[in-house]
Order: sequence, then structure tokens, then C-alpha cells
Amino acid sequence: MYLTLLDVGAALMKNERGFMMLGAIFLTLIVSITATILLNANVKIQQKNSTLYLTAINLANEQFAILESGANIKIPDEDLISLNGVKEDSPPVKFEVSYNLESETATYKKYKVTVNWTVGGETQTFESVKTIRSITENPN
Amino acid sequence: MNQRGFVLVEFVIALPLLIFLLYALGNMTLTAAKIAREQVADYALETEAQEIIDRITTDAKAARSVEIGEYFDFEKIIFICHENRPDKVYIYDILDRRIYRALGSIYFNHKEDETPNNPVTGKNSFGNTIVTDLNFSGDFLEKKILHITLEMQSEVTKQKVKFSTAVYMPACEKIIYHGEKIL
Repeated sequence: MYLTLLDVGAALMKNERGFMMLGAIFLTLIVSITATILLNANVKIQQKNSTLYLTAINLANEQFAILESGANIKIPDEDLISLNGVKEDSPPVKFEVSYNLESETATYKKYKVTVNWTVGGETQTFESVKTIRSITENPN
Repeated sequence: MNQRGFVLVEFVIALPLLIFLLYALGNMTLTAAKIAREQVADYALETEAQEIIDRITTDAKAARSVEIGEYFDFEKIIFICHENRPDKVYIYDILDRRIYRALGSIYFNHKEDETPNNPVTGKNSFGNTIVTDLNFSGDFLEKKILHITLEMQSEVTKQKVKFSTAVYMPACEKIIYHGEKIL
């Protein structure tokens, strides 16, 4: 007498045990589907423009450097358009950099730089405040 | 016999479901592992790019003199910083030349008397990165502003990042840009 796979299977799933196994399979299936949905959602949350955020920080630093030097120049246009973190068929992201003088003393100025960009209809903002030394020409 | 038949029918339903379930679970695990690897590789890319920019801006702020020139496919930059170090009674003025240059798309930062054997980029177990473009624009140099553009690529995801920034060099007294003295 040969023991086949079906015999082993049947022995394992006698009567109610078969129902239990089906129940366990369906339950696992539901759990895996839920896990897949959550996993995808989690990835989308994590990938939310971290590279663009870093781009904004660098642009804010660029604006601070210009303000600190006292030069009457603007950030080059090519720096304000970025393909970072953007899919191939999507348009590039445009950044807008603005600054505001928060407070001023004889030697120091406190500036607030704001960087805005829009992705998928949602506008993101990065703000940075820095106190910089005022440039004064040496009369000598 | 009736009971055995019932178990057999149930087994016929359960076995394909089990196979499908195991396939789905295996597939999901592989997808999750792939996504995780890509995310870590992208994170390594961003971190290394920012590391280069941070190092350059830190040295630029302290630089008394800057030299920018060609070095193979990319530009190299040398910051010359004077460091006043108190040593017993005397104060020595130490000249420190810090070089930033790329060798075969791997970026190095080292002092002039050192062999470049400790790369800033590449050879990362989380995901290799290469420098695809690095330049220091001379447009604002007369205002003592160093403009940096860095583009890097991950060899795992082929994702590219490009960062542009600028740094003001208040202590800078001399700037040489491709052999031309600007300041």
C-alpha cells in the first residue's frame, strides 16, 4: 500500500480541520491584502518630496549667501527649475524663493527666506531664518 | 466514504488557494525588498550629495584663498585656509590646502600632502553613487560668492539628483578661476 500526497492531505484535514485550514487561508489572504495596501501607502508617504525639500534648503542657503554678500543679484533661473524626485513623464518642479527682513540692528540683519514649490497641486513651503552681519564698506 | 469525499473536495479548493497565497506573499516580499533597497539607495544618494555640498561650503566660509581649475572631466577646487593654532607661547600661522576633486566619478576631499584614498562618494554598501557633474560658476566670484552645482546618480536606481547652492566667502582675499585672477 502506497501513501500518496492526497492520503496525507486527507489525513491532515479530517472533518473540521479542513474548515479550520480554509479559515486560516482566507484570514491570511485578507491580512496580506491589507498589508499590501498599507505598504504601498507607507512608500508613498516616505517618498513625499524628500529630494525636493533638500533642494529647497540649498536654494534658501543660496539666497542667504547673496543677502550676506550685499550683492544686488538674483538666484539664476536654472537653479529654480528642478527635476529632482520627478518621474520621467512629469514636468519639472519650479521653485519660488522670497525673503523678508524680519529685524535689523546697526551690525546685524535678521532675514527670513521662504521657498515654495508645487507638486501634484499641493504647495509645499520651506522657511528658514538667519541672522547675518551687515556689510559696510571700509572707508580706508 | 462520504466524509472522505468532502475532505477531498475541500482539499482541491484549498490547495490552489494556498499556492496562490504563497505566490502572492512571495511576490509581495520581493517587491517590498526591492522598494526598500531603492529607498535606501536614494537616501544614500541624497546624503552623499549633501555631504559634498556641506564640506565645500564649510571650507569656503573659512577660505582666505580659492583656486578653481580643470581636473579630468570635472572641476577641482582648492581652499587655502590659514589656521591660527596656539602652541605654547608662540602662535603659528598654518597654511592648509584642502583639495576637492573627482577621480573616475568618485569624489575625494583631502589635504595636499595626503594621498586621495578616502572617497566622499561611491563604494557605499547601501547603494553606489557617482558624480555626473560638478562645477563652480565664476559669475558671482567677484562678489565673493561661490556658486556650486552638483549632479549625482545612484548606480542602483539610476536616479539623478541635482543641487545648486551658493556660499559667501567673507574672508576670501584671492580667487583664481581657471588661471585668471578674479580677486
